[in-house]
Amino acid sequence: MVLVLALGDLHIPHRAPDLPAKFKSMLVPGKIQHIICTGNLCIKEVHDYLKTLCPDLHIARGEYDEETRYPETKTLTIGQFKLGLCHGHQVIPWGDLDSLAMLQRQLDVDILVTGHTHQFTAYKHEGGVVINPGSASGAFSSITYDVNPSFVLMDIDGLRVVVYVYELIDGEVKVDKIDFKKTTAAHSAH
Amino acid sequence: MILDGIGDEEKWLAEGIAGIQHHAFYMHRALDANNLRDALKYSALMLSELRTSRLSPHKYYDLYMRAFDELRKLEMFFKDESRHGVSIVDLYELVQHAGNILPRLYLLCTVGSVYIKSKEAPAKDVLKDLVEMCRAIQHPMRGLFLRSYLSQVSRDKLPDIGSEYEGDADTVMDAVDFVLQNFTEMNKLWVRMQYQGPGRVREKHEKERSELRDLVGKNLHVLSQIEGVELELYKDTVLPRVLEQVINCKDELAQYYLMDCIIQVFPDEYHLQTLETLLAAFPQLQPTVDIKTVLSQLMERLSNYAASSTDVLPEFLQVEAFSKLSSAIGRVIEAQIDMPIVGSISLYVSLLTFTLRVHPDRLDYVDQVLGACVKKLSGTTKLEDNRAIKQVVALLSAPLEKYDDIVTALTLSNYPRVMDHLDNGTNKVMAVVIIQSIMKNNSCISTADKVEVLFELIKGLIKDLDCTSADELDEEDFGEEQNSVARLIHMLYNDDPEEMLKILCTVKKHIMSGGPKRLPFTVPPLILSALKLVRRLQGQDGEVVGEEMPATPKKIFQILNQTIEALSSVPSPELALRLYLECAEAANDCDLEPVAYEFFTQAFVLYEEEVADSKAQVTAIHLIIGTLQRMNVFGVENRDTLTHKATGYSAKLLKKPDQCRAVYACSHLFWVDDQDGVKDGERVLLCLKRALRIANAAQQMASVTRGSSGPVTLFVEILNKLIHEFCIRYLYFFEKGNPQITSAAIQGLVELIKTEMQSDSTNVSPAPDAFFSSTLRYIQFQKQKGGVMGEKYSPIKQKKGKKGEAKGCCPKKIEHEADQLERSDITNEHGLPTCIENNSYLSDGTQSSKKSKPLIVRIKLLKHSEPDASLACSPSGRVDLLPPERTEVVLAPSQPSAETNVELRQVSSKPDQDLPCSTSEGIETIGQKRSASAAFEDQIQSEDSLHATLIENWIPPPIQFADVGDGDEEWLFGTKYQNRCGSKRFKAADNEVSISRPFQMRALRIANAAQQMASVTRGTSTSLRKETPRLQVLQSLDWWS
Repeated sequence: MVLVLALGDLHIPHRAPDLPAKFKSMLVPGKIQHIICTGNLCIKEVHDYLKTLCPDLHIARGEYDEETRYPETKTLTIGQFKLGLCHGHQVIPWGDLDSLAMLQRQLDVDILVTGHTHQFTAYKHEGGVVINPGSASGAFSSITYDVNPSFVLMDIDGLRVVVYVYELIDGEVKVDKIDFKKTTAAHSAH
Repeated sequence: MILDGIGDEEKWLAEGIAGIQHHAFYMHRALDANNLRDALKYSALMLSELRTSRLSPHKYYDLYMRAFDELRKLEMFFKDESRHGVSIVDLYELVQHAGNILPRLYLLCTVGSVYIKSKEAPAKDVLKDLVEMCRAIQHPMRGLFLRSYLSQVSRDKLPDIGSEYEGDADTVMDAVDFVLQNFTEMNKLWVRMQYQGPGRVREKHEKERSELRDLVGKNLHVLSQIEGVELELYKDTVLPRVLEQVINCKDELAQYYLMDCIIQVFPDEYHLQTLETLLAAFPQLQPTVDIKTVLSQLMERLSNYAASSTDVLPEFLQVEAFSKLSSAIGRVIEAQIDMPIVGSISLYVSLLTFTLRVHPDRLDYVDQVLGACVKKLSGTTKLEDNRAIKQVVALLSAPLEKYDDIVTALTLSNYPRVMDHLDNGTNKVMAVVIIQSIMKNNSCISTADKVEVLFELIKGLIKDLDCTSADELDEEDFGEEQNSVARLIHMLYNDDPEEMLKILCTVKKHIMSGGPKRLPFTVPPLILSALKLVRRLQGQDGEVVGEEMPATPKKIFQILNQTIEALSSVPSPELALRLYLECAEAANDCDLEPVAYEFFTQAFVLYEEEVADSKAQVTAIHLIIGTLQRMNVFGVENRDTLTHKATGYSAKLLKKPDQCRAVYACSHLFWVDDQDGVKDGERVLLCLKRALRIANAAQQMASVTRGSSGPVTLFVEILNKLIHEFCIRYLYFFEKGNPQITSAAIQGLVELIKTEMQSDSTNVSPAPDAFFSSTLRYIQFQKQKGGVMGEKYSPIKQKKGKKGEAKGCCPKKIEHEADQLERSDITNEHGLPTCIENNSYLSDGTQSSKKSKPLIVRIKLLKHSEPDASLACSPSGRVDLLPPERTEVVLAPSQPSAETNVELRQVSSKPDQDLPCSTSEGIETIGQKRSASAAFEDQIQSEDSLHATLIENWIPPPIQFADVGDGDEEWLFGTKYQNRCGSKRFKAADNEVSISRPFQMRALRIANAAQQMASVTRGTSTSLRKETPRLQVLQSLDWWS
C-alpha cells in the first residue's frame, strides 16, 4: 500500500496567501510516500514545504512557476501503476477530456494527473484514469468560478487504486472516494 | 582549637570539621550520661570551631551545618528536664557562663527556644533578649550565621495569630518587631562586609557576599510566613520599615537583592495595594542599582496576577495601577540619568506587557506607553545598540501578539513613530513580523484608511528607504520579504465593492513606488485581487447602470491595464503577458469586447517585442491559444484578427516540433463546441495539414541529420510522437462532427504512420510505438461503443479491427501485415486525378483578383509531379509520387549511413532538378498552392479522394523552412482575410488611412473602435496621439468626396 498525494495550482502568493489551515493540519510528514504536484506552486517556499511533507516530490511545470527546471511532463511508476504528470496549460482546449486522453495515450500511463482548471475532476477513461486534483489553495481561476480548495490522495495497492478527494467546502473538509481497478491485460504488451 | 594560619581553605575546613566531630563525640557521651556540665563544656568547645574567620562563606556554611546538627541533639537534651534536673530558667542563666561569646550565644539561642516552648516566660521577652544579646557579635559572617541560627530556631515559636505562643502579652506585633529587628541587624552586618579586606580582593568579597544574601532574605521570608501580617500591618509597619532599611543601607547589591526579595516573597495583592509606597522607593535607590529588572519583575508579577483571575481586575482599576507604574517609570528614568537606553526601553516593554494583560481594552494606555518611548528616543535618530533594538522589537511585537486583529495596532498613532527609530534592516524585520501576525491570525484589513496606515508601517518592504542598501540585499531574503508582501495583499478585503476598489487603489499607489525589483512580486497578487472584485461585480453589472457607480469592471480594468503596463516595462514581459491574458478572459466574462481586445493587443505586442526565449515563446503561445480559444465576446472581425495573429506566431516558433504542436493547437480556435459562430471546419483542416507539413519537414530534417550522434534519436522520438498526435487531432475533430475530416483521412494517416514507424524500425523507441498502439486501441474502443459515434467510426472498422486485435498478441507479425495492407491501400486509394483539384479550386470562386493564379498553380503542380514521376517507386503511376522525398526517407535508414549521406547530399545539391519547389521560385508557389488546395478541399465529397488529397497536401516540397517569410501569415487566411479590411492591421490604433474608397467607411469604424477602446481601457484622458488615426481618416474622406 502506497499513499500518493496529488495536488497543484497553489498559486502562492499570487492568488492565495497560503494553504488552508485545515489542509495544513491534515498534511503531516511521514504518512505520504510520494507527492506529485501539477505545478504553479509558485515560489520556492512552497516547494520546500512540500519537501518537508515527503522528500519524494515530483513536479511538472506550471506557467507561473519561477523555477524553470521543472519538466513539462513527467512519468513515474508506482507499484503496478504508471503515472503521468502535466500541468495542463499545454493541452488545448484547457480541461478538455479528449485532449487529455490523448496526452494520456501519448505518455502511455494508467493515471494522468493534470491541473490548470482549478476544479477537481476524475474520469475513468479507456481503462485509465484522468485526474485533476484542483487547486489546493482554492486559488482564483479564470476558468472555474467558485473554486474550492481540494487535493487528492491516492492509495495504490496492487492493481487497485482508491482515490480520495479532499475538498474544503464552507470551512468543512469533505472527503469523496473513487475506486479504480486496473485490468492487467491492457498493458501487458509493454 | 585554634588553627594556625598555614594551609589552604580545604585544610582549614577539614580541621574545623575534625574539631567539631571530636568535641561532639565527648558531648554525646556527656549527653548519654546526662552530665549537663560536660555537655555544656564540650558543646561550647565544639561551637568554638565556628569562631574561625578564615573560611569563605561557602565553607563556613558547611561547618555551621555540622554544628547545627549537633545543637539539635543538645536542644533535645535541654527540653527534657528530668535528664539534667535543672529548670529552664536556671539553664538560661547557666549557659551564659560559657567562656567565649560566640559559643555562649549559640547556646543561649538554643536554650532560649526551649524556654519559649516551655512558656515559662512570655515569648516576646525571650525573643527581645536574644535579639539584643546577639548584637555582641559584630563580625559580619559570624554574626550573620548566628542570627540566622536565631531566626531558624525561633521561627516556629513566634507569637503569630493562631499559634500557641500568642497570649495576652504576646501579639503579632512582637513577632514582627523581632523579625524586623533581626533583619535590620543582619542587613547591617551584611552591608558592612563589603568594607572588609583590601581593595584587590573586592570582587571576591562581592561574590562571597552574594552567597550570603539568602541568610538576610530569609528574614523577609519569615515575615511573609507570619499569618498575622495582614494587609494593614504590612502597609503600616512591615513595608515602611523594610524599605527604610533598604534605602538607608545605600548598598547597590543589598538594594537590588532586597527589593527583588520583597517583590518575590509578599503576595501580589499586597503589592497592588501598596504600590505607591513601593514605587516611591525606587527613585531613592542608588543610581547604579539595576532597577529595570526589579521593576520588570514587579510588573510581570502584577500582570500574572491580573491574568490569574478576572475578579482582581477591579482592584487594579481602583488603585490606578497603570498611572502609578507609568509615572514611577518616568521618575526612575529621570532619576537614573546614566541608565542606558536599552534599560529604559525594557522598562517600557514591561509596562506595555502589564498594560496589555491588565487593561487589554485600553488602547490609549498602550499608545501612551509607546508615546513615552518615542519621547525617550526622540533625541536619537536611529538606534545602533543591538540590545536596544531587540527591546524595541519586543515593544512593537507585544501588541501584535496580544491583539489578534492587527487593525488594533494600526490605530496606535505612536506605533509608526517608534518604528522610525529602527534601522532599515530591523524595520524590515518588524514589517515582516507585522505581516506574519496578520497572516497567522487571518485578520482581514477592511478599509482603505487602515490599508494606508499598514503600508506606512511596512514601508521598509514596499520601497527603498535609501539607495545604499539596495545592492547589499540578499536575493533570497529579498524574495521572501516581497513574497510576504504579496501574501499580505490577499488579506486586504472588503465585501463592499466600492471600498474594495479604494483599497486596491491604495495598494496600487504604494506598490507602484516599489521600483523594478519589487513589481514582479507585488503586481500579480494585486491583479488577481482586482480580478476577484471584477468577478463579484460581474453579476451586479446589469442592475446598476450609470456612470456614477464608481466600482465598475471597466474602471477596474483601466487600473489593471496601467498596472500591468508598469510591470511590462520593468521588464517582466512573460509575467505581464500572462496577466494580460487573465484580464482578457475576465473582460470576456464581463462582455467587454473592446477591453478584452485591448488586453490581447497588449499581450501580443509583448510577445512580439519582448518574449525572445524560444522556450518562453512556446509556453506563451500555448497560453495565448488557450485563452483565445475560450473567448466568446469577440465579433467575427476581432476574432479573425487575433486568431490570425496567433496562428502566425505558432508557425514561426523556432523548433519544428513546437511549431507543429502550436499549429495543431490553433485548430481549436476555429471550432468551439459551444459557440455556433465558431465552426470553421475548413480552417481546422488547414491548420492540421499545416501541422502535418511541419511534422514532415521535421521528419526529414531528422533523417538528414541522423548521421550525427546524440540527440538525433531523441528527435526522432519527438517526431514520431508528433505524427501520432495528428492522428488524435484528426480523431478529435472527427468525433465532434466536423464534416471536413473523414474516416478515410484518418485511415490515410494511420497508414502513413505505420510506414514511418516501419522505416524507423532500426531504432524505434518504445514510447511512440506504445502511443500509437494505444491510439489504435482507442479507435477500436470508440467503434465498440456503438451509437452515433460508433457509426462514424464504422468506415474504418474492418482494417482497424484486424490490426488492433493482432497488435495485441503478436506485434511483429502485425507490422508486417500492416505493411501489406498499407501497400494495398496506396494502390487502391491514390487513383485520384489531379483535375479534380483544379475543378474544385475554380468552383470555389474565391476572388476575382486572383483569377490568373489557378493557371500558375496548375503549371507548378505539374512541374511538381514530373520529377515525382521520374523517381517513381510506388506501384501506381503518377499518383503517388508525391512522396518522392518520402521514398528517400524510407530508404535511407536501411542503407549504410555513409551512402545515405551521399545520396542526400546529391539531393540537396541539385534542388532545382530534383525537388522543384525548393528555391525562391517555389516560395510564392507554395503559398498559392496552399490556398488553392484549401479551397478545393471542401468540395471533395468522396472519402477516397479526400484521402488522396490529404496525402497530396501533406507531403510538402522539402524545403519548407524557407517559406516562413512574410507571406507566411497568409497561409491560413489567404482567401478570406484579404477581402476583409486589407488595411486593418492587428493593432487597431495603428490602422492607417486606407487607400481605396470602399475601405474608408470601414477605416473610420476601426478608428472609432480604437478610440473607444483607448477611452475604455486607459481612462478618459485619451492622448492626442490616439486620436490621430481618426483625424486622418476624416481628412481623407473629405478628399475623396
